[in-house]
Parts: sequence; structure tokens; C-alpha cells
Amino acid sequence: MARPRRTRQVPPGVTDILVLDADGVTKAAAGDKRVAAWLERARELDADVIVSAVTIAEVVRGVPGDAKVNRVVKAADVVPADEAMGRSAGALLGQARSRATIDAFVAATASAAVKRLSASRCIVLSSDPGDLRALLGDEPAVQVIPV
Amino acid sequence: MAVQKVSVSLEHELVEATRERVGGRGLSAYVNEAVRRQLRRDALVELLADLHDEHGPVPDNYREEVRRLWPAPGELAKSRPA
Repeated sequence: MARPRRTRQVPPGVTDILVLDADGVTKAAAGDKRVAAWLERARELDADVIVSAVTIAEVVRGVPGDAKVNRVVKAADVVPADEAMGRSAGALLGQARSRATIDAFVAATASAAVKRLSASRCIVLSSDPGDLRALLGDEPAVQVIPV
Repeated sequence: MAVQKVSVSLEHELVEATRERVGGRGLSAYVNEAVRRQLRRDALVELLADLHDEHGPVPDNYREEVRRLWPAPGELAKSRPA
């Protein structure tokens, strides 16, 4: 039996990432054409669409009206907000002297996805580009785009 | 995550290539991840089709703007995102 040559399952640098924050998800769900253009591009480039579990709390209300949002969430990789992610988010808040906890989870999720997938490019769609950019510091692979 | 044992038939070459890549014990994890990714891809295609039906096509100028900001990897040298 051949020994495993490597454990990484995705070749380095070929996966692009599109992260949606709460506004990204709700605008996509509502048919916003700018966000739809980004999702179309994600499809063309076979990019991973990523959403933080914290974002889920912002966009669902446990009612049948969640259906449109759920349709977007289904197309995304929902990344858990576990202890490690909490610690990363906390460290970003400390570095940026910020109190924007939810944005910090989005930033930490983007940052972790870049490392996990060895992604060369990560785009974060956000209604709060300034806050997110500050939290992400000089993370060069991550581009924050206002929506 | 609860798991369920199912019987699926995979092409011999695919099994060999996967084992070579991840080793015998990583096979299930690899297949799980591959199926999860494909489900997300299919869901994205469905979402885009639904949005198109409900709200009409994405205007070309929006599409071009996104292409400029997010070029295909081969086009990266020509036009780097700011």
C-alpha cells in the first residue's frame, strides 16, 4: 500500500475564497445584483463561498421567512465559531483595539480559510469595509469590498 | 457529525488515485469533503438560476467590474487587484 504523500487535499494557491458577511448574505438573498455578480464570478472561478457561523445568527430568525437566506447559506461553507476561532477573533480585536466582535469573527474566518486552503486570493464582501480592513491588518491575500 | 455506512461503487482508478494521495484511512474523509463541495457547487448554481428567474440578469457593467477586481488567475499579471 502506497504511503500518503501529503495530507493537503487542495493544491496550493488554486482556490479562491469569497466570504460573505451578514449584509452579503441578506443582499444575496434579496436579489441584489452587485452581490449576485460576485457570486456568479465565484461560480466561474470555482471559488469557495464561506460564511461564519456567527453570521448565521445575524441572518436567520428561526422562521419560515428564513428560506431565502437559507438558499444562500446552502451554497456556502459555514465555518464553526469554536474556541480556536474565538481566540483568533480576540487576537484581532486586541491588535486593532476594536470592539467589533462580529466583524472580528468574519475577519478571523477569512484569515483561517486562506491558511487552510492555501488560497492566494480571498474577497470579503462587507457593509463595514473599514472595520474589517482594520481587523485584518496587513493580511495581503484578503481584499475587502463594500456592498 | 453522525456517519452512515453506505455502499457506493467507485471506479478502480479513482480509488487508487485517492489512496495514493491520502492513504487508506483518509478515503472516507476525502470522499466526504468532495461530496460536500459538490453539494455547495450545485446549490450555488441553483441559487444563481433562481436569482436570475426572480430578479433578471446581472447587468453587464456589474459583471465587468467584478471581473476587473477578481481576474482569473492567468490574467493576474496583467491586472492586479488594488
